Amino acid sequence: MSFHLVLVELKKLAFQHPQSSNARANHINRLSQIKKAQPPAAESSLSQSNPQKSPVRHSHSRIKPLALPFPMKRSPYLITAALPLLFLGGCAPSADDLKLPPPPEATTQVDLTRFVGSEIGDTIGDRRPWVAHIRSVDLDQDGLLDAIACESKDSEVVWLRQLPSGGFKEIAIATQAQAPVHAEAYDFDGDGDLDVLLSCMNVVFPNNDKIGTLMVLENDGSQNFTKRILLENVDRVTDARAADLDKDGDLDLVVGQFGYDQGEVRWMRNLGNWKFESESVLQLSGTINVTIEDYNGDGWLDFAALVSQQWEEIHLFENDGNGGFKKSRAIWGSTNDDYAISGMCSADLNRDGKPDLVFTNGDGFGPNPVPGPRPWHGVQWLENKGSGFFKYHRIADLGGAYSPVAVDIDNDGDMDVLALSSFNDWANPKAESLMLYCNDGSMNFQSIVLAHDPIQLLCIDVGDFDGSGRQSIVSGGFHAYQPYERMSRFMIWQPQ
Amino acid sequence: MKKVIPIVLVLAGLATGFLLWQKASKTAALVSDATPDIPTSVENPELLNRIQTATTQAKEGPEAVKGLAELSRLYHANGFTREAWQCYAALVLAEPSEARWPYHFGRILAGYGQLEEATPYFEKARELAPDYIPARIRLGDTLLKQNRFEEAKNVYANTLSKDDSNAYALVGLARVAISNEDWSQARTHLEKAVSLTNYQIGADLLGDVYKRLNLPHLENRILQTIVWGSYADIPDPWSLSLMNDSYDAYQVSIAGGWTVHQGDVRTGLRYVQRAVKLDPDSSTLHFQLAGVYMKLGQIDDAETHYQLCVKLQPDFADAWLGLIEIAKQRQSPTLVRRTLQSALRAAPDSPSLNIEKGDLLLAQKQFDQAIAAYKKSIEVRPQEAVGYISLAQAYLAQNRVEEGVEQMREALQREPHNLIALTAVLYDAISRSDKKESDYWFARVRQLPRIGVTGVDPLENMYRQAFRSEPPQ
Repeated sequence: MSFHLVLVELKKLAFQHPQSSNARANHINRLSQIKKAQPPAAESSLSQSNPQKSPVRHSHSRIKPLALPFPMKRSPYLITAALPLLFLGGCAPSADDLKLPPPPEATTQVDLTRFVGSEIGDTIGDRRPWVAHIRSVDLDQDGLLDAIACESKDSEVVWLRQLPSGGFKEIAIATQAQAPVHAEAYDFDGDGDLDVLLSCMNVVFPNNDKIGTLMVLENDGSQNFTKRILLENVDRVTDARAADLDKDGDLDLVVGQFGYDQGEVRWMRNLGNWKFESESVLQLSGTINVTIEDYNGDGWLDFAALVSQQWEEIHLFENDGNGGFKKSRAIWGSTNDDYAISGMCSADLNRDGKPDLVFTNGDGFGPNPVPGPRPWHGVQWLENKGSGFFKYHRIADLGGAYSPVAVDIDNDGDMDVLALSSFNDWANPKAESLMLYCNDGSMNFQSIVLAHDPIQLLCIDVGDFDGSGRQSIVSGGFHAYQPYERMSRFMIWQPQ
Repeated sequence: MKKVIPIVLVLAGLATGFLLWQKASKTAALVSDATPDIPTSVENPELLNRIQTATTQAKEGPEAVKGLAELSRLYHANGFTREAWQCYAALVLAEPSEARWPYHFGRILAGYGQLEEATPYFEKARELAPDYIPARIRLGDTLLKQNRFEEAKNVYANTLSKDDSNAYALVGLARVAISNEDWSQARTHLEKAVSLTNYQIGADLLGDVYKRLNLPHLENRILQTIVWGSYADIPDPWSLSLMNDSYDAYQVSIAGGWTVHQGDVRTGLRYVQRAVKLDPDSSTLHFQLAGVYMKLGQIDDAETHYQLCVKLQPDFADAWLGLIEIAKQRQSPTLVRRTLQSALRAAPDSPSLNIEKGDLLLAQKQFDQAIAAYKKSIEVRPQEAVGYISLAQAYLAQNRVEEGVEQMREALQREPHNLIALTAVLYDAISRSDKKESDYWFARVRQLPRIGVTGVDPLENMYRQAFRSEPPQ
């Protein structure tokens, strides 16, 4: 046997060292993934919770035991001499072992004419609006899509009623609403009209008092609304959604309570006659959004919660099908306590029949006087792999990212993503404000800047406002920080 | 056989030399291949120059690894995370005994939530630097967030064997206990963490644990004691030192801000100073720096930077308030008055400056002018309670009780849980012997655990004297 062949065999031996075999297995696995031409974005799964899915554990079996072509036992000197060679050979780094980052994002396009924005509702005047949430909904069910919005500084809930002329009339449907930050429309009492489920923080900026309120604005059928308090004097409420979680025919609630140092997530079983039974399912501060879907595909509605503050986690609450929920489980988390997750929505992004989660990180609040972008801020999604397991995919970097919305904006049959940059370097006139991530159909997203201004938009929603079958965008501005320029209150962005 | 031995040894020596050379060559080739292309978005000329130099060194040598290490710092510190990732991916192979590479690499991966991939790097960092506690905490947190509770528990427990007063490890153990719904175990860990850190770390969770254990009096104590938002991440010198190579003033200022928040004000100061040096025309950075100097009691330095701040942005009301505070600390009424006059000339519509003006006039018993200043503040910011409360105090100072209480009620319309306004209207109701209203307001006050026993006691005594019964619980 030639010396070269001996070395080759010794190096192969080195790969049988457990650590090296892991690296090798990883490499093989990575190569196989590349060959499958999977999306190149960074990705991860929490497969430790689901060992069957772990690529490392799987791939151990791919390395076959090495059959040595020479009698090792009879060559002690060779073994002795080979040890340093083995060591050196095994230690030499190889490009194969490199765990490289995802390829750089494609160049961002700028398309400022794709959507043209115009102010709706009352004019902004000299106000500094704090629009915390906007939702597209045909509130009066007249066939014209409207929007409802939360003006948290004025403690008002506003109905932006679309008129037959295409204009919008602003109507306050609740005043003194305790700093509302999220509104959803449901027919709670089954009387055929839409009521408004309202999450109120009472004080938007940091406050640990138990001052949160959850209320329903009950519609009398003529769009006159009466407040019904469902929760009060609790950790500040940031999001609530309704669905029939226990399949008893009425709407139950999932409530996210940011609080500040204390906070929680609860679900509330509807007992009828506006009575609810509360059960706290997570005791962590910082919940921003909750979403309800059948995430594990068992026919029962589950829910997810986006938990910010120092936790930076997404939790899944699986329905046990018996009128309760299993113990919550983290399905994603960052150890960067400044990751700053800021918003989440649920959508079947890859159209595989399973609801995924799209979320942003870009909350700029921190120890500095003015919030701004951080390098890791961006837009990402958790691919629902089934049975309650999810896989992380980065869509794009975006400083100060907020308000993700998944929608087929270009009607090409795949789901795109809209997001805002709410905190950016506003001294730079080219800083992004409204972004579109256009799906090429293979879950690769092209970043497109739709608007540089107005700045400090905090919320968007979409809908077919003009009946053309094309999606328009509605937005709300939140101007609590300098610079107080290029401001907006409510806007509609119509496709051109 | 004896003849063979020297031959084998010579061959082995040659092979060793060959492999050493080959290894060095391979490492250099690896480093060269892994060196990222310079992003076009690098704007700072000094940073670009350093990146170019380090790139050349990494690609061509000499000491390619050193060049790549420099490059990793520059990219990581300046927000080029993808490039930093690429550097670390090579550095963990090229310098496998250096703990910082897997640590920083793990931080990037786990930061993006790629926890499974990050775990072996944190394990490696812990192995290479067993005394670097943040690596252990990151590893524990990474496992915890993957629901690998038993492994996380072991990591935290081992951390405590190195540093038995590590509050972050205690909080980690508490979270593991909470995941098992072992609330009393969680309580034990959190009480220790809270005690060690004077309520900075763990108090947030402890409040919830007390609630689960149905111990409202202890939960209330937490709510009364906790300083809002006091949590701070574990001090991490390896990560912080990256900021020495950052040219991004905003990122450096945030690093400085967090360091101050963690309690290391001197080190935080150094970074905020660096941020100001990087962007000397930023009013907000001067404001931040002045605030740090104030914390340190260096009011001359603080004054300098507040002055620079208002020079750069004359209507920066909070900076003016800082200068007024300094004038007060110098016990110079003339300086206070002059500074306030300058401030209001520059920012006449500032609500806080108008309140400051009102307070000054009220202290001089110039009631009408004080009231006018407070009204101006309300006009500018009608949604906040503070203006109404100030106005109420001005009325009450003139014994115009009804008008004062009316303003307190206005404040409660804006902030229904405002402590000052609530206690004021309760006091008024008891004074008027209006039991029904007193009961109503007492119930509202009871919902604010933050008021504490010492705040409630006098009101309870008043209530008992007025109504000869116990106040509502």
